[in-house]
Amino acid sequence: MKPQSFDYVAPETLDGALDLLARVGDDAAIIAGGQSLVPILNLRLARPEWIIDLRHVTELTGFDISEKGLRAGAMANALNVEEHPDIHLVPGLHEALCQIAHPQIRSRTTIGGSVAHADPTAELPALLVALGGDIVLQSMARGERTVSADEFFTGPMMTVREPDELLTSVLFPAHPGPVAVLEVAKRPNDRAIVGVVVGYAMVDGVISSPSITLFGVAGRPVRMASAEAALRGAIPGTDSFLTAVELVRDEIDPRADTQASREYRRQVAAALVGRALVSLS
Amino acid sequence: MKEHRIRLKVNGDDSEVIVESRMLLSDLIRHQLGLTGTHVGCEQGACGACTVIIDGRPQRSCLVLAVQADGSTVETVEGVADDGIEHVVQTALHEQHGLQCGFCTPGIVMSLVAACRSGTDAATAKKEVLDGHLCRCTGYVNIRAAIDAAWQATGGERGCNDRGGGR
Repeated sequence: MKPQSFDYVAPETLDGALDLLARVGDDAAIIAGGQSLVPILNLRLARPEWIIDLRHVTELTGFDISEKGLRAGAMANALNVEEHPDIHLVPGLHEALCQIAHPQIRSRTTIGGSVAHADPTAELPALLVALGGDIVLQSMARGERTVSADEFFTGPMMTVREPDELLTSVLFPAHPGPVAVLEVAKRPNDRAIVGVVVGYAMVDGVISSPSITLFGVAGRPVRMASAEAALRGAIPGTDSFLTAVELVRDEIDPRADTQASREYRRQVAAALVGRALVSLS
Repeated sequence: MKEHRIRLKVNGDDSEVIVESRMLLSDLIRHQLGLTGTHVGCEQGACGACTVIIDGRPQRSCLVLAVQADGSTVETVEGVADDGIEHVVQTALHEQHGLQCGFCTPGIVMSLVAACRSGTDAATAKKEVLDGHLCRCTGYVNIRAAIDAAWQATGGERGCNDRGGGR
């Protein structure tokens, strides 16, 4: 047995889970699919005294896909969403889900778990930032609050969620145009070294709603505001795309780690943005 | 609670066991149930050696707490052969030399059996499904040959059974 000893509870209802969090939230980890939590328990990077399992909380497993976007309960299963016939209504969602990890992992992955875990190299947090999504948090003491994706992620594995709060649902609004999700990893479906979420729509022959988000280059997914501004109202093509790519290259200051150097990340991120823009045009 | 009484069905047999909260499903399978065919490699989800089928889907048994599997149906490599008759995936791996040391093989068998049942096409099985497993011996060439052989033996491109095999 690898993890440190802990108390395990699996409440039957949302209220039961919130009640537990109110009492032991400071010393607890919430488990959804467990595909990020169990590895860090096994490595003893996390040593919670309590594990609160949401697997019986059926209020959280539903999801709804429409032209407006994906509204997913925290425990909605990633593979069930991926295989939904209407998934194309939310551009970029299928591409993001398919790159999360190997199918043997995705069979347990949950939408809420991935978002709450806030891994800076993860696809769903980046997509959520790119689409301007919302996160709903709930606690016994303060009820419900909605936080924008931009405010939600504060750093690597860090969010504004308080210890007594539970992430209950996530909204991925549909982008008006197509969205590309590209990443570079050591092997397909492994943890991304660098990735991008890029989308735009066309209105009267020019670009509108440009959205460029990078992941794996900072402690959280980052929007490239200057590159987006350069694209807004521009005619899609080599000139406008190259301008955006150069702005991305100049604007980011990625970290080096054992996976890749700072300069490698910078070049690859810019190249992926260029590739994504071309794929959308 | 630090200890839990759980019930699960493993390879068709009902079992009721007492497990510590922190016990991994892989350890329950190997140490308490004595089914050592499920191998444990990295214990962080990267290598795929411990893959078993839980409620119809291939999953990493090292990334599931035993207590989370309460009420589940689990299939391990010991349950794949039917009364001593090898599954088509096992025969193909044997005939195509799809293994050398064999450490990763039980996990690969479970992923491929699940892929076969769910009607996954051979190309996806060779790429996405196999991507979830590390093999340090074969270089994957013969495993891919075995996938082709198994899929051909069971009616061409599509999987052996119709969709819905426990899914």
